[in-house]
Amino acid sequence: MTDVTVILNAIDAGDPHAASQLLPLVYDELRKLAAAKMAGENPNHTLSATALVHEAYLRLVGDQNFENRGHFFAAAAEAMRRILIDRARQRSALKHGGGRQRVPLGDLAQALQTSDGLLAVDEALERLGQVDAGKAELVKLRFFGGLTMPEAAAALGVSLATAERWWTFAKAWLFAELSNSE
Amino acid sequence: MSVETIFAAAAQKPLGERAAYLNEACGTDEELRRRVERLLRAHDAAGDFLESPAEQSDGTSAYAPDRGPQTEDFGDPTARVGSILVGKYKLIEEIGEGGMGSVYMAQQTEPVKRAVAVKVIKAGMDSKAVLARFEAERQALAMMDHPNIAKVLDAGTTEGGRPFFVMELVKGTPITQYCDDNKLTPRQRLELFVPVCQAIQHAHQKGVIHRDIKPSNVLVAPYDDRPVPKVIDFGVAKAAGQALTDKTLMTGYGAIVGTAEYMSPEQANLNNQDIDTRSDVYSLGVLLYELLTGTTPVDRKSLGQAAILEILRIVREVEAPKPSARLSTIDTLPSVAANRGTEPARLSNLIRGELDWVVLKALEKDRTRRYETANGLARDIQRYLSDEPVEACPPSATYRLRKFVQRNRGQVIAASLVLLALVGGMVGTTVGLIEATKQEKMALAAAEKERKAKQEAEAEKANALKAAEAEKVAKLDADARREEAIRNLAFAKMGNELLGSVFTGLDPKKIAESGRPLQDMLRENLVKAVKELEGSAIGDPLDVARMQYTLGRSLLGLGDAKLAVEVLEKARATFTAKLGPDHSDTLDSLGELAVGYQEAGRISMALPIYEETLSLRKAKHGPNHSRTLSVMNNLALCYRLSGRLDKAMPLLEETHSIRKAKLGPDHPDTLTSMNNLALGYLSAGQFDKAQLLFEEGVSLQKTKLGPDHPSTLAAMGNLAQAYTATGRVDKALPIQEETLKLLKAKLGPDHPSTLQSMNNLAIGYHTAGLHDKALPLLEESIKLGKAKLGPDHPNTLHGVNNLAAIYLSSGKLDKAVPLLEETLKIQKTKLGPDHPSVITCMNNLAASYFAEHQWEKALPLSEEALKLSKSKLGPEHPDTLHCMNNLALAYLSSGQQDKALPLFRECLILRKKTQPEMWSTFQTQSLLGAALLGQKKYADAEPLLLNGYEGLKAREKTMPPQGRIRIPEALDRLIELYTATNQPDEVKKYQELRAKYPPPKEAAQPSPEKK
Repeated sequence: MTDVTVILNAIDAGDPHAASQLLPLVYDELRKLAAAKMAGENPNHTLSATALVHEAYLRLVGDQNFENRGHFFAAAAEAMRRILIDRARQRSALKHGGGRQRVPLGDLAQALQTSDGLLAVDEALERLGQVDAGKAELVKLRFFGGLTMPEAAAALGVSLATAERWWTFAKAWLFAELSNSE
Repeated sequence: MSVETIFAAAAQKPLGERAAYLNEACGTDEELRRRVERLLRAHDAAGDFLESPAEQSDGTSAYAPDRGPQTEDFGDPTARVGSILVGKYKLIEEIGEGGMGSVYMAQQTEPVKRAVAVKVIKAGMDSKAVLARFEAERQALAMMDHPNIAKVLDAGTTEGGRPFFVMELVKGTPITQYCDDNKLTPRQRLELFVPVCQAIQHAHQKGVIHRDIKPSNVLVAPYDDRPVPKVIDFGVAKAAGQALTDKTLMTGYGAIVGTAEYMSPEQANLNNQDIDTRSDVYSLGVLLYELLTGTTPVDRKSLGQAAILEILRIVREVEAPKPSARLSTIDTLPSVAANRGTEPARLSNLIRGELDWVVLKALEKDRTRRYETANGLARDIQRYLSDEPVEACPPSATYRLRKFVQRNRGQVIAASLVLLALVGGMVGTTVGLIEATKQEKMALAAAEKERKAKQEAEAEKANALKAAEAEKVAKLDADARREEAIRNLAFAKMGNELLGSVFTGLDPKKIAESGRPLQDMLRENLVKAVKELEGSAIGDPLDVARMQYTLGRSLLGLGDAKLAVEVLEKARATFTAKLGPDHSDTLDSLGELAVGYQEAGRISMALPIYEETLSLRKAKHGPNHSRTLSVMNNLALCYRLSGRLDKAMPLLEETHSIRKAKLGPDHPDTLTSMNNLALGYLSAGQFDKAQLLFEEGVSLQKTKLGPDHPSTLAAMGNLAQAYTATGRVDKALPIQEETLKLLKAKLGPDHPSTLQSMNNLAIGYHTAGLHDKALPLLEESIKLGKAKLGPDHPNTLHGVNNLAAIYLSSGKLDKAVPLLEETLKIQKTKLGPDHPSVITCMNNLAASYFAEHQWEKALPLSEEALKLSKSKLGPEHPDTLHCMNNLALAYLSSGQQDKALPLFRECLILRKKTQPEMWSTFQTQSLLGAALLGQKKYADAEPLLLNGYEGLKAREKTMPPQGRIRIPEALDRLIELYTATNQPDEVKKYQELRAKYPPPKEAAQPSPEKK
């Protein structure tokens, strides 16, 4: 058994402290996976959250079924967020030597594929988290963790309908926040 | 309604209906409406926004950055050689890389120009939090000013978002490497280590805990040609969030392996935030350990193979071996010694003793037992360096005594189990066995205690020196502290003296001359100590309880269970009141108390205490904890003792199987369990199972402990016993012969264990009918025993008794009778008139008189033996039944059939009840038949004679050789019966069967059972 399955077992068994041990392990695995991907010779390699997180799950957990696998995905989403944001910071700093530019409205969807876009979303997400942590977590799971809506709903322990409603709201909230439209 | 609710509803409606809905839902609240509309606009415009997960392509970006080679952890391009951090630190050269990040030599440009060290923390940490933690400690760090501390100057974030620290640049090498490179002697190493402790102490006084003391953070650099150690990285570990969950695990496997060796047990607790200055004291202890031995207490190699959680467990639970002991096990000792400018043997000798204790005190798992401060450690090292007694020793008088008793206790338990079987014998009735076992146990303990007494005498001397020193120190202290110091010292002294008094006057040589057993004097001293402990007030009642506990255990070891129980009851009461019913000290005292009651023969008191202890242990430590298992083991043995095998066996089986699974099949505890289980099978009559287990145990111990280890030898003795019990004397003998040979070589020809083994082998020979071998061996063992133990030592008397019994059974009555008469006289005065050995001796002497037809002497002695045996051993005890059988036979042979018949009847009934399958039961049956035959009650006699013969015949192969002569005797009686009743066919049939056995000597005369 990997340490991750040990921890998931412990969570299933009701250990309240076990979940906090997941992040470092998952982060480490994802970081290694990401590094391996990026170290490839093909310059067009892409870091895809969906692929990485699911690969990490397979590597660390395998095909076992855990009641509380949601904890894994929560940890994975947070880890992925850190990895992507760290990278984005480095690149962004190189480009601008510091401060960020406002993202032009309309290009927002594409802008998310850039470092600045990503950093902007992360900052906005942090503000959303202060207003409504559940919705921010949902966005993190879907956007950084690459989960589908049903997976994310399961991880959060809410119904699919609730998750859909939260999503609609969070998406509009973040879009409004980023486009700064009045 | 909330923004969210209105938005959700509105977003579902067609654009045309929204305005009307909003009018209704928001009413006059314009702010609400504005916020909903803002969200709705965003909702309509968002499109695919966020719908696909975050991705980052590399290289396709229009702003493709000019990057250096990709490092595995996405190296920060804003922090590499050549970069300038926050405008004033130019990174010149990378000088190190660790678990936490990379270290650069850098040039500071403003406000002053100087060289500094910059540590850039790896990615993956929340830099905001790191800096926040650093800021929180900045004030304290700034106040540190010590020549052996590298100052932390600044901290910040790189443009890439990573935290970095700026420190005074130290161009040094890690302290361990420096010492090895320069071949510093242990003394020089200690001198270099003292300022390190003082530096840590300084930081502690400013409120800063280092948390990551290890060789690479203690650098040695020459200043003015003198080596000066400098501790670096203060505040970094704390700021970087050293807690395991957060950082250490995250930086990966290598990082934790790199630091786990120096981590304190409390740091190795996941999520444990409760770290204090004593954690640094522990890490200093590890560093000192490594400086002295070249290895860390937790072996680097063993860590390398373990999983992270296992490593943490090791750090938390596994006790550090003494440095001197570690030295003796490492194969690199020659080079370790060479690096310290000395030879292997001298290095071990140097470290053994005081330095061992200093290091182990710093490495106590329980931080309350460590040095209180880093200075405490430094001072003790300075004491050592100036040849003064170290502080680490005196408190350990109690500790060592306890450890010693613990160690000895384990041996005693294991030894008493195995020895129980080792002491076999013809005369060796069950009770005789226990007596001999006790003697054996004490002899073993005495050897250890002689050694101990010597050590203690030395410790006493050290105490005196230390007391003088402590007084000197106390004088220098401030008045208030002085008073307390003196009081504490007085307590400590009193305690030490009390424990020390136990060992005073125990000069082994003088004791040998005085002819008094060592354990007697030890016991006297202990009793005195117990009394004094009651009389004197020794500060904390818990301290008193701990001493009572220790004394109680020692008393137990010496066989004074009654007094032990008294003291242990007191200790238990104090522990329960002060610490609660399930504190581990309370449970320890409970466990010992149960053992005490058991050894005092009060099984009915012991059992419930065991049961209570077991359930508390299970609740507190879980069912598989080693403490739980040892209570389970003891409870099982107590059940076995009380004859409740139905309760004992499942517990023994469970303990054995848990230990086997948990510790492996050849762990000493598993082997003990295996032995106990086998003994249980033996008691339960499951000889095959017992034999298999014993065989397995012997072969495991031979491989694990060596063929001549005392445990192995004891297990071999048990195996021999199991073979004997299954009637396979042929297999038992070679084992006993080997055991004796090994004991002679290992312990010497006249060691009590060797003598015991000679005795056992002689009995084995005798049992196998090899009288020629049995007699000289036994005679020799008695001769040696008389010289070594004294002529009236119980072991010697035991041997004499055996010798007489052998003379008796080989017909040498002229030799047997005087020997037995003399032995009986000595035994009566020495052991008391109704001691089991006395009864055995009486029985044997009566049998001799019987053989000489001296009825007037045989009958009264036989009657007295039976009476004593009944009251002493109980009416159904096998020995009592022996006596009864023999007395009945004496009546029969002396023509008193009226007395013989009822006694045979009673004996037969009891034997059938208690030993239905034993050959002796059928012998009694045949004898009862003979008595009836004498009265010409042929019809009554026939079935008894037939049954008796058949029973004996069926057991011919498994009974001891001297039992086999009963078969022709039984046949003779049948022939007599059928001759008298005139049945020639039957007579002929049994005469043919009889012809296979040797002809009767003179007149066929039934002889008494000899024991």
